[in-house]
Amino acid sequence: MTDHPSNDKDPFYVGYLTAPRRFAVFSMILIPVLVGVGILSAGIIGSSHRDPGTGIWDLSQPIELVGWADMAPYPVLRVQTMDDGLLPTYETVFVVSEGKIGAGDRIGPLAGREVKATGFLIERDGMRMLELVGGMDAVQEMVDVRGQPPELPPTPETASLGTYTLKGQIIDSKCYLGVMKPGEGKPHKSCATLCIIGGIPPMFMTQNAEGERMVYLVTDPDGSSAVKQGMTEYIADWIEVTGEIETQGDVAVFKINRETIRRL
Amino acid sequence: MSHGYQAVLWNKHKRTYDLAVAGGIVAYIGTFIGVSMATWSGPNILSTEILLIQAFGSCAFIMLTIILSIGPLARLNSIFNPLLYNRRHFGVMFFIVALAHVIIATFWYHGFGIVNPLVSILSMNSEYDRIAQFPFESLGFVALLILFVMAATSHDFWLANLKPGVWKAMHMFVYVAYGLLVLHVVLGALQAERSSLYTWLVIASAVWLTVLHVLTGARETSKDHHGAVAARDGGHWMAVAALDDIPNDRARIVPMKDGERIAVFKYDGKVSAVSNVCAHQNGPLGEGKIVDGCITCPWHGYQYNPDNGQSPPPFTEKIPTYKVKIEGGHVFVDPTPLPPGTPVAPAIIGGNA
Ligand code: FES
Repeated sequence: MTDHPSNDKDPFYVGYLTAPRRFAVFSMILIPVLVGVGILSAGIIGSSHRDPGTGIWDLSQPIELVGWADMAPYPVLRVQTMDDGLLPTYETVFVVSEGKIGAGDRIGPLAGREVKATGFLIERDGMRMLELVGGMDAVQEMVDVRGQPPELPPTPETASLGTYTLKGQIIDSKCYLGVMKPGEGKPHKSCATLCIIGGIPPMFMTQNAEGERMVYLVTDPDGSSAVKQGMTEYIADWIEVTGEIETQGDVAVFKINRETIRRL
Repeated sequence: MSHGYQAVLWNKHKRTYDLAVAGGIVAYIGTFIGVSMATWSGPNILSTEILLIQAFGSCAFIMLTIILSIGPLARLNSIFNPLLYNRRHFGVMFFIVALAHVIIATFWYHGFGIVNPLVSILSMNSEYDRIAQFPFESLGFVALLILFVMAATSHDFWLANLKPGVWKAMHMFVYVAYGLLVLHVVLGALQAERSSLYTWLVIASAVWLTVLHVLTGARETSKDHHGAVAARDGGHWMAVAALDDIPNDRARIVPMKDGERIAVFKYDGKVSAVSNVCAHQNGPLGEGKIVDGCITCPWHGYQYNPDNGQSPPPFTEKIPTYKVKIEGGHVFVDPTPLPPGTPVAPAIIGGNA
């Protein structure tokens, strides 16, 4: 590698020769400036995330829940929360499989029975979901050792709150409740669609007048699954939709009329 | 033959360059994740996978914008040449960063479902007829395919085995890929942004690149115009420059009517003319310099003997040469290119040509 003393008079840069001063100085300024601008952008973009919410997906260890299996119309477990001799109350825990797949195959056949289910807990804003682990054994029917006649499964009380037109987004409950943060909006549209057609219960996310987030389980007007044409195309889009809101036990359900969906 | 592909050898500059780029990438990803986790922590922490997708994705976009700026900047001012010198490694590192973004996003957003992830990328969102809902993933996917072909053919093997014109035309597709990526970002990640600031920044990058390229193109054309020469001598010989107008060890670039350019070098009391187009990546040899008696390309330093257009052994590159003569203080060139590597006696300054 030759050194060219004359190079500074008629500066010429080639990588294998000593760089002329002008080039060396310029590069020594330009490269750190470019890297600096890059780091600055990283900081700006990184700090501009919106609050992803307090959802958790606790993979530290599986938990066991005992409750009544039910399809409502999506797989759930009704877990008794209190029995002080008066009327027992139940918490509805949504049940899903690992990945973007529902748990209908394991909850459906046992609907109406008391079962023990094993899985990881997903939880956000007081709503709980169980991600089953361990194949078909993840859900096992409770055997009544005392040989007593089986109890009747709980039937959640329903009450209609009227018909509303709401603005919001159809989201997949598993991602929304804590598996993906953020688990909403355009970047997540395909993922949410994949989840919902795979059997993850769809939910509708909206805001009330106070700006608080509200989340409803989504069904058809007759209470059957809403995962049909006319709905799946709108997943993760901002839409307006009309339907009846009903409480079923501790679950708020939005029974949407798919024909009323309108993109905003 | 393998020597021919290796003319740009490893050296200190390249290592510094690679280190700066790699360090920049690590610093970018680290800062992105660190700042994100400091912004939302505890129960509100963001998914690491999503942060990685965003960090790699935005990093790749910024890198590509810089890479595509280097070429025209170097055309406008040779002070940017050091960035050009090792641009290819920058390009390959960009590809790796983009690939990381794609792999994580494919797994996380399209994996673990009832549909094959690759099918899901193209079909899970099928709103191809809507702008706001458009499946932006497919745009990124096509861009990646283009960039993959580019990365795979960036090796000099392809340069040697594809016609330079074909190679160059193929590599122009990088601008198609960039356009697709702008749309990928605008119709994807930015649809979830409430503020339109980022959309404008992305559009600004695209505008910056366009203006830069148009400006460079215009300057190049006007240079050709100013340098335009008329055929003299009635016949073959063209007067291309006054001898005094060519600086020592440097060249004068002479545009031909058919768009070809000839580089006329003055060195060592002699004048030689060769094609302006470097056999490596079409670099402008006329902006190069005579170093150690060889014409040296300003882009990556390939060298050619001025009197025969051949790279000194062990290298094997060859460029077309032209006949030259000096008369009355003027340099004349016969504009018919001779086959690459043809020896031509230089015109001797002050000799009887
Ligand atoms: S050395 Fe690469 S283009 Fe000339």
